[in-house]
Amino acid sequence: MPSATPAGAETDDLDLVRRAQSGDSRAFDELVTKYRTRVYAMIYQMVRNEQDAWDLAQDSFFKAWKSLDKFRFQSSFFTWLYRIATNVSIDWLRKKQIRPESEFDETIGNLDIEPTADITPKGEPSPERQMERGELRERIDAAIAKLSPDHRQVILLKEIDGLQYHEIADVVGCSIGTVMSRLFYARKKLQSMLRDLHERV
Amino acid sequence: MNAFETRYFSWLDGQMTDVERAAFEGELVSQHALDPAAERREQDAIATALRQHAMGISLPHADFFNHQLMERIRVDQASGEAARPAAPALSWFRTLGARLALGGAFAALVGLAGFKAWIRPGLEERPETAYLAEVLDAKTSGADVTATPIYYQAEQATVLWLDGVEHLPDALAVSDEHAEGETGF
Repeated sequence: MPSATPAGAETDDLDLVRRAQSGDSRAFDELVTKYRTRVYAMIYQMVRNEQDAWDLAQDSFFKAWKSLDKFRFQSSFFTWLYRIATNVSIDWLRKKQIRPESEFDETIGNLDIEPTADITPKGEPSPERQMERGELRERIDAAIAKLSPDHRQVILLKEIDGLQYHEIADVVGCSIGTVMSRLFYARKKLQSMLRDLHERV
Repeated sequence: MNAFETRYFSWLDGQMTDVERAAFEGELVSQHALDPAAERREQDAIATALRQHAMGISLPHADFFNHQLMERIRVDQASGEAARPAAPALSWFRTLGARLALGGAFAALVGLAGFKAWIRPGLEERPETAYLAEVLDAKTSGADVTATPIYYQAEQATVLWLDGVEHLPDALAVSDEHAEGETGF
């Protein structure tokens, strides 16, 4: 899988970071625009609440701004920013004492809905298809929620953000072996909870 | 590091050679009771589902997100400057002190130069005028007190003779020899 930040983008980022470090808030604004959705999506997957994710994304970027002078250009800005965002999210989860649910919620497993409409308007997803998507989203949300913050973090960074193993290790602050171990566990747990998904996706 | 996990992801990411893949898939079947094809299919499905799921997430009020963040940064910068008065205040104090000291020194220099240039030559030309001016301050409630300046050539001094003063404060009483109903100083 390609790195999450292509070389050209990384060069642009570093230029923007240098300008931001010298006090150019417009350069930082560009970095925010570039990464706000990805950071928000990652945090949202962690905390599963729009308002909290929005606030935590704000906190993450604000912390990044405050810590810009500590950025030593030893990693990509994206990786560094993600490290801040994941730490902010995990700290928030720990403070809130939100624990992953220990068992698969029975109600989530019973969400299969029979199609009821035979005719659908062209160009729009059918009601049953929309419901199916909604169901899929709920199931994935619920499955992710059952992972511990550490396992949730690595699988989101790998599968959604497309980071490489060494980048995840950099973000999380652990070895590649630990990343793989957590990732393996997370994948296996998701696999057991979403075993029927491969028939739909 | 768990060697199995490392090899598992190497296999899943398609980074194994044909020989390595065959050996690992044999291990999946024999030691983990897994069907390699089904395992890959399920893992791919999970990855795809997660990515599709994430694609549906968008940042609400994206423009306001930047606006609020930049406003927060602006406020922080402003409060940071306000919360950093020690160094600037000290600097300001030092600057003002230095300016005052410099100004004072300059004024003293100008005064000294002026004294030497204009006043001292005059004093040297008329040495008799040096140290002769003495200002006294006194009040009396008497309405009939009169003052008469008298110049004594021999003493080279002007004396202000007061009539009608009942008494003088001790600090101003120069001598008693003239203080018999009349006071002079």
